[in-house]
Amino acid sequence: MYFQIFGVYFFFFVLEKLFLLSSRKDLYFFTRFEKLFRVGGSALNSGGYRKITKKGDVHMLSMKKTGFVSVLGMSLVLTACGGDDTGGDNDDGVTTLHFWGGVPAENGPQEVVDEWNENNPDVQVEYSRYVNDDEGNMRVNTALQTGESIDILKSHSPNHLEQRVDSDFLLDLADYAGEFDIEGSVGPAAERWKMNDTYYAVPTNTNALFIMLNEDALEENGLEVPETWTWEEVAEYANELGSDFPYGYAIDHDTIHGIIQNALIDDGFVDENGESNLDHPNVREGLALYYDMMHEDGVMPVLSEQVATNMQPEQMFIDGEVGMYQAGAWRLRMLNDLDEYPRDFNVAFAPYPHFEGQSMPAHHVEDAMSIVAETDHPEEAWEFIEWYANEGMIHLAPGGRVPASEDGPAEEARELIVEGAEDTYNLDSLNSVYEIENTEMIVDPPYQVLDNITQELEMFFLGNNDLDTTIERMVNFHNDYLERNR
Amino acid sequence: MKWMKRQQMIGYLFILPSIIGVSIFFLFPLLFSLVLSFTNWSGPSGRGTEFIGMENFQRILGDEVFRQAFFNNFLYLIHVPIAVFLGFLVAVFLNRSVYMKNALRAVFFLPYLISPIAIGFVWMLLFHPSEGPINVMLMSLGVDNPPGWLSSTGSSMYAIIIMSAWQIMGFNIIIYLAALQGVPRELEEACSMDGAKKWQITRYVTFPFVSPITLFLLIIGVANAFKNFGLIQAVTGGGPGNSTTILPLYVYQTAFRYYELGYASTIAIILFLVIFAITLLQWLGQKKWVHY
Repeated sequence: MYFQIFGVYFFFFVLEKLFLLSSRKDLYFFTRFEKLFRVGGSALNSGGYRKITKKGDVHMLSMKKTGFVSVLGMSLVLTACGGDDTGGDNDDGVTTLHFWGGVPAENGPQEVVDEWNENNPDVQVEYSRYVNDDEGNMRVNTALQTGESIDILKSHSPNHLEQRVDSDFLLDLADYAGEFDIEGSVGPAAERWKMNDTYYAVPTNTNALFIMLNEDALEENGLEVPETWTWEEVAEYANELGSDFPYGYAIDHDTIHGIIQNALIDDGFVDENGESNLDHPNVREGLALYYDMMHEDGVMPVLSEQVATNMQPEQMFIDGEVGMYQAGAWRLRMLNDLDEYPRDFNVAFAPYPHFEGQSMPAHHVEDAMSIVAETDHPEEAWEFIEWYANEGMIHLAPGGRVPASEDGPAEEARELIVEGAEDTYNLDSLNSVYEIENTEMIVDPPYQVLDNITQELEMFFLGNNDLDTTIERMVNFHNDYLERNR
Repeated sequence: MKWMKRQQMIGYLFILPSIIGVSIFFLFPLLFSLVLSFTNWSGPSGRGTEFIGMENFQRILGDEVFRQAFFNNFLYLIHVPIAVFLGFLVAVFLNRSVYMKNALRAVFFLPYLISPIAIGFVWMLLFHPSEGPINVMLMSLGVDNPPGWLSSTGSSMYAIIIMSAWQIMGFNIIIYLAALQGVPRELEEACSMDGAKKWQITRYVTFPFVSPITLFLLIIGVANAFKNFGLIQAVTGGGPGNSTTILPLYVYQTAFRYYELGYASTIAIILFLVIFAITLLQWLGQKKWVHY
């Protein structure tokens, strides 16, 4: 570093000498130089230009100017060398682990970290939150790429994890997990996060998928809370409720592709020949069903209108404008908060529907924790992750997060997720949603395919394209994608 | 001769810092993205990147989203002349003695300062297909089927054009107001003495006087229309379907959502060529109507 400073300083030193020692001819240069500066500038002293052509003044000027340049150069060099990071170890033997995740600190992670830090004075964990959108994830990737000190990273989508694994940003947990059997304790749903036949991340959270029902309205219409049901039955319920509500059924617009994931749950997005499976009969059936619900029966908001008007189905459900709202455990935080979101009805829960004769979709396991490859303390990081998955998770329960690991306090968490509004829920139905059987894990297509599906569905539900065209276009795009990445 | 050379050397030394800056922050990325456009770089770290020749350019030819984004972008350009024309009229108006001149000037400039996200949300309310003030007004005027604005593929781009024109108009007004101060009063007075009407003065005296500014605003506006997509991202995200996807938005998605950086660079290079060509056309066309 000293050598660099010296080198740059020497450069400016030579520059300075060049001017000071230069002969009279330099005057020519400087007068022109000054002229340049004065053209268009303020004419405060229009005679100044003539004055500085005197030899003495020019020397004063050049010294001032080059002196300034030297100082500027020095400061540039100093700032360039000042960014050295001091790593994770402090002098007193305390290891600091940097933990990045997408959950706001006040929704649980801070409490988890505080509890750990209290019990582990030698290994202190610092939590930083990143915003879990495209831009936020790009920042995480940039940070990983440039070697910023991150030791533990929580990924919120298998697509993002895959990008990070392909870039060798994360460690293979097989080398650290030891006795902790990821698939054994999380169950088959963990496979959503399996890459290259191994695990680079432990999913920590079971994010239950369900449909919230306005129980009071169900009773008035003489409808049972279903324990399992098909999409046909969902449409029937929606039509029954459609007379009481502006909309019998609503979903978050960004989960519209869920019906296709659901349709392909047993057969997958790609068939055995490596071709797109998007022309599967179930896809056709599901899309036709949604189309009818939107246009024929008018019991579901039309997709493009929902997007364009920024419609909030969760708020509409609470306000009694939607009879059934397809969501998941992440919405429980809002429903528990009766002060902020008062409602005058009880909520029952039905599992995610399935197609006739097909498996039911398993609950998502999410919030996958990884060890960053650049870390100096992989063992400590793993210790924290294991503790987090099994014990720390309880602090995240009030946000609807139930530990995915079977050694975790799932029962206790399931009580905490409804805390504050227990009396307004049909808790039996919630518990049976958590205990559904015959499930199969849903597959996440790559973002390119997912975005194309969303666009085609928008066109379809607008009525711009018919069903056959829509399916043909989706299949073509998917096959092109598969061809390119074969 | 010798000292001349030394003078030149010294000159170069002086501009060295900015040359270094421009090379690092401008030339290098430009050339790098040119190189990238011939590779299959994908993923954040670009592991396993190979040169694949013209494959990316071939892919563009068959890429329907690109084609649509390309045409959308030209449609989107319409907001630039609209905003320039309206900006000119408002500036001429504000330049005369108008009641509450300063307050009005501030009001017109405000949209330019507000974040596109906030603007987007307000306009989403205004454009609501059934309850928004715009459609309610249209319906009360007797329009039976008012456009769905943001919720239909046919009208979404026009809604975006209206929003964008409204937003950049404030900037145009401020620039025009400054330019109008340079138009000599005597000339206008002489014209009115000769019996010219107000609109004739505006058309044949004022407008030619500020034509260099018009050219400047057009060039800046067009370049920005090929660069900024914040408003579209906030309001429609490119939808419904792909009806409001424009090239910079597509580049952004390809690069930072799909991490296909090679292909994104290819699109960016095409984008660069398009902007360059349009600017060149405007530059050549100026001889016909710009007076210095």
